[in-house]
Amino acid sequence: MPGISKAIKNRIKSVGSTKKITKAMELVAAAKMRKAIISSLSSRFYAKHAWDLLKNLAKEEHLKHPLLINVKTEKELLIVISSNRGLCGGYNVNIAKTTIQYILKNKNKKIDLIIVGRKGEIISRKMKNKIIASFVEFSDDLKIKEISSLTQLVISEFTKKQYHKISVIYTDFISSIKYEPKIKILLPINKEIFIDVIDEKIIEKEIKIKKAKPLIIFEPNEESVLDLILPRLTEVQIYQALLEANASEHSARMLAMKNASDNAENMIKELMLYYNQARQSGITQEIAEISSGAQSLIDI
Amino acid sequence: MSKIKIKFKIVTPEKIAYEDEIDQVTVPTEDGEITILGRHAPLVSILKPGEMIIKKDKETIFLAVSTGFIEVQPESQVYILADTAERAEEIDLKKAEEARLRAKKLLEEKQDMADIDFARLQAVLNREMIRLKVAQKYRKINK
Repeated sequence: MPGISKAIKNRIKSVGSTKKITKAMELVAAAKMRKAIISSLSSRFYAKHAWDLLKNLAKEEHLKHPLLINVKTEKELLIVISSNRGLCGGYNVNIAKTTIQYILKNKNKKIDLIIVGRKGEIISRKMKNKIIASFVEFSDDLKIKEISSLTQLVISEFTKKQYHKISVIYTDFISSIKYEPKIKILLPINKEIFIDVIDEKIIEKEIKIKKAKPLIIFEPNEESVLDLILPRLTEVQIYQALLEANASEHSARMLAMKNASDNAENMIKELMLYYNQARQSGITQEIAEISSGAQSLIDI
Repeated sequence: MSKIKIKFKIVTPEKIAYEDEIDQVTVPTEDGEITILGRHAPLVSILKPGEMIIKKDKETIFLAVSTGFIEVQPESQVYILADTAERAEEIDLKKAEEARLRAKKLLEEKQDMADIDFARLQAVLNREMIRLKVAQKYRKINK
């Protein structure tokens, strides 16, 4: 049966070349992941110290700054961080699912969205929430300067008293095989918020130790220090969320591509088996034909 | 009497640039240079690009820092959150000079551009000049 074995052979070839592609993508994702992990881990310390500083400032109740104070509106703003490209398993789906769940849970509130990454736009197809901005131009090798447009938008929206709460939904990177969507409140910066968003990974214990502290001195003065520090530290938190999301994206893609390569490998094995069976049955048939032909000659 | 040591850390978005127990540190802030010794009162201030001098035992360490914050916590802990921080010996003089010239040229070419871009370029130029200054000073001392 040369027809069937030919078809199977073609199929093996095409699966093989697909496997080559997925393998290559896996390696690329692995390399990018390593880089992304390094940058997210190294800036985690910075983010942690920034967070500590915010925490210390939030304990000072006499401080008055627009970014520290609750605003009375029912509107919320969500920053959804997704990826620009697909082929990364359930990464974007999980983010979309978490976002939609959150929106459904808070039906009584009006929630607006800021979307980062092209794939996040699937949410807009399912939900009718207003999208006030969409950022797609962030690079893999993200620098803090690149996100100033996003930070400025977030801070100006908050200081305009449009929203009483601004949160970010991103994929938190736990290890190269574990990452999960997480919601983190960015603004306003005050006590209640710290309790639910504190980064458990690093500073679980610290919140328990509360000591009476002498008042903090601000130089040159409270207002100018807070004006500079609070937006900057908020930016750091957004930056960190983006880095974590980036690391998660690459490891999700690596895992997805690894699964694809493994599946291709299995498929090739199976097809090889069919191919050999077809080849063998072809040979058997030919022999049967020859021998029956020979037999008929002898019979005459 | 032995001095009270300060737990000191400089953190930049890329890494922990420096971490040690030191005797004193002099940092450039908006209001001018301040020197912090052990048991300083809690303080939060804004860093200015400039030269930071750390004294540890008999050793003196020079660093070039750019904008950021300094936080002094009780019990002699000092944290600096800076955009960049480099030890004087790590600065490549030639590269720093090139960077400064580039920034200066850009600044001269684009006098009429938007305020934000201009301010950013000026900050870059400032930072490069500080880096150069710190590196040159360090090299003079060590010659």
